[in-house]
Amino acid sequence: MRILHTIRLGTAVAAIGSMATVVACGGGETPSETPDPTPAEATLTLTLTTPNAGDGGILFTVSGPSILGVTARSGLEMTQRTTTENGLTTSTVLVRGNLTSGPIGSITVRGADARAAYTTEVQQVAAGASGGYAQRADLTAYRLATGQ
Amino acid sequence: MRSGVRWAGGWGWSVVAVALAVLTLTGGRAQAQSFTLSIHSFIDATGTVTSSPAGIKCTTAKYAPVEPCSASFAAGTVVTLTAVPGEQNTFEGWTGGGCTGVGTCQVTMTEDIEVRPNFVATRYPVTIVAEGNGDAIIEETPEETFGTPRLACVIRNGRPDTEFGTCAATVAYNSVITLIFENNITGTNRLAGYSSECQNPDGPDCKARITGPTTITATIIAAEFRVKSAGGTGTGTVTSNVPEINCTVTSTGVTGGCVKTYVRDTPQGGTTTLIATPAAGSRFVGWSGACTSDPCILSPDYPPNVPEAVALFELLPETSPLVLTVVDDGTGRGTVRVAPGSTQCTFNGIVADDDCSASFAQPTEVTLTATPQFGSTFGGWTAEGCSSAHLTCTFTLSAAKTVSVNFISPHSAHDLGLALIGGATLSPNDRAGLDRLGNQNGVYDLGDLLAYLDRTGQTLTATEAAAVMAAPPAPSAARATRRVP
Repeated sequence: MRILHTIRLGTAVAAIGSMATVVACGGGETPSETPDPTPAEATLTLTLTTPNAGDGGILFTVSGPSILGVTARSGLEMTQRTTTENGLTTSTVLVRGNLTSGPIGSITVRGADARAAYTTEVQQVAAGASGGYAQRADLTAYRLATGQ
Repeated sequence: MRSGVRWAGGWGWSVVAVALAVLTLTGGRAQAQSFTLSIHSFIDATGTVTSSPAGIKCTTAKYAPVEPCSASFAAGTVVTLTAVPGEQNTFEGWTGGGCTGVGTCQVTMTEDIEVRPNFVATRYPVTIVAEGNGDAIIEETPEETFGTPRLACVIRNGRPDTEFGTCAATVAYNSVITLIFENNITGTNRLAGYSSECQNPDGPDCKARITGPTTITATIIAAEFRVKSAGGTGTGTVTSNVPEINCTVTSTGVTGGCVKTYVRDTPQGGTTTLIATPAAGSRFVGWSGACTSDPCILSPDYPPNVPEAVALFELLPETSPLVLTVVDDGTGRGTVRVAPGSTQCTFNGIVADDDCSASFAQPTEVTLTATPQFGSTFGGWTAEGCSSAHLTCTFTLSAAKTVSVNFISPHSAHDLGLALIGGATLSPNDRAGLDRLGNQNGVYDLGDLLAYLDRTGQTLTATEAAAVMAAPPAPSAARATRRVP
């Protein structure tokens, strides 16, 4: 079972602020002396919620605009594959290690997209050696959230 | 009435007395009458008594020809008896009939008279000795005893036991004694024979005429328990928990330790167990005789009344060799050694060329040992009774059998990971092998990858992937492996 989660991080206030900035800057031919407040890249944390102890690995996807990279937190190993199609980037990520609820890694996105919606899907979870490497049959309780 | 009887020297009175007696007995009428004169016979002494007038010629011996030892004489007849002792006998006088002394005996027949001539034979010692190792009683037949005392010799361990038996006696000259063999204690002792003093040394009875000092030897063999062959077509061995029996049984007989002898006073203790083991190519069919089940367990009071255990072995029918075939269903490289034997299968990942086989003449316990080579990983067995968790697999080959072995060709953790996320492919055999190593749910999945990494010690680390990760994302597929510092 795959679980889809969509997280919209931007708030209306932030959107209005951005728009105000655009309006304030728009229409002028002269380069502004004010530095661009939007950083080139932003980092979003991947936070796992697991109902089980002894998880040894997880396979998931995270999709959204302009995913520049994926990293795992210290102590975990990772392999990932990223595809971009119609402006939507999807990273299929395999993380190995002793998984517990909490941050398991992060994704790097363009700063302008930091508040965009990123969707995660948990595709497989398997137990470690102590659990006989069994596949978790029920993934409904697994959550994988992105956030700043 | 003896009033009319007198010895020589008084005949006048005798005639008168006889006449009176006859008149008295006949009631005064003159009438002929007779009386019987008998000679008492002895069975162990020999002598001859003759009468005058004639009528008696009696030899007083058990085995003498039947001769008249009694006769009738007319009343008033005076009969003179003369005793002559036989060979090695002496005459010691008369008893009965009014006779005494060792001379002739005269009796006047006025009634039935029995006279005993006291012949006395010379007596000789008779001794029973024994040989062998068995138990028995050698004794005179109770119906006819000559020994004084009666011979009844108890034999233990092949030696006379004088405490409990009579092995020496005296027997009158010319007597024929009869000794009989009585089995004792265990009931399975055997009389091997008597010495030549007996008329029939082979037994079972000994008849001996005693004409002088005599020693008779009886040979007694102790109880024996034997393993015998039933004559089946096969061969085998019969072993036991007693040292005497370690016997080889063939179709023609037995060799080796096949007899257990039971000697008195030898502690037996506990049960005796006989174990039949067929030789290669034979099978044990069963017991007969003293044994009724396998293994044959005999009670402590063994030996049994049936002193034989008969083992039947038969040849197994000839069968085709049992063929074990080992095939490779993986893409990796490795070897499988087949024991017993020297067969070693080498697999190079080209399945069609890798099969190998070994043949066995009969059901055999076979052990297969897998050794992965050149970076390959053992992916397990596909055979009943074989665990993929172990490089060795042991089973009894009782029918033709095919065992599949799987060696997984070398893969990087990177590739195996990508195979899960769509960036690389694996052969179906490798997928199957990886699943056997892992959670064995029939498909290659995340759990299988984790198991493989644990077994091989690999990690999801690939430095070249880090470079890829450092580059801007490709417009299409991109793959990277990145180790978090």
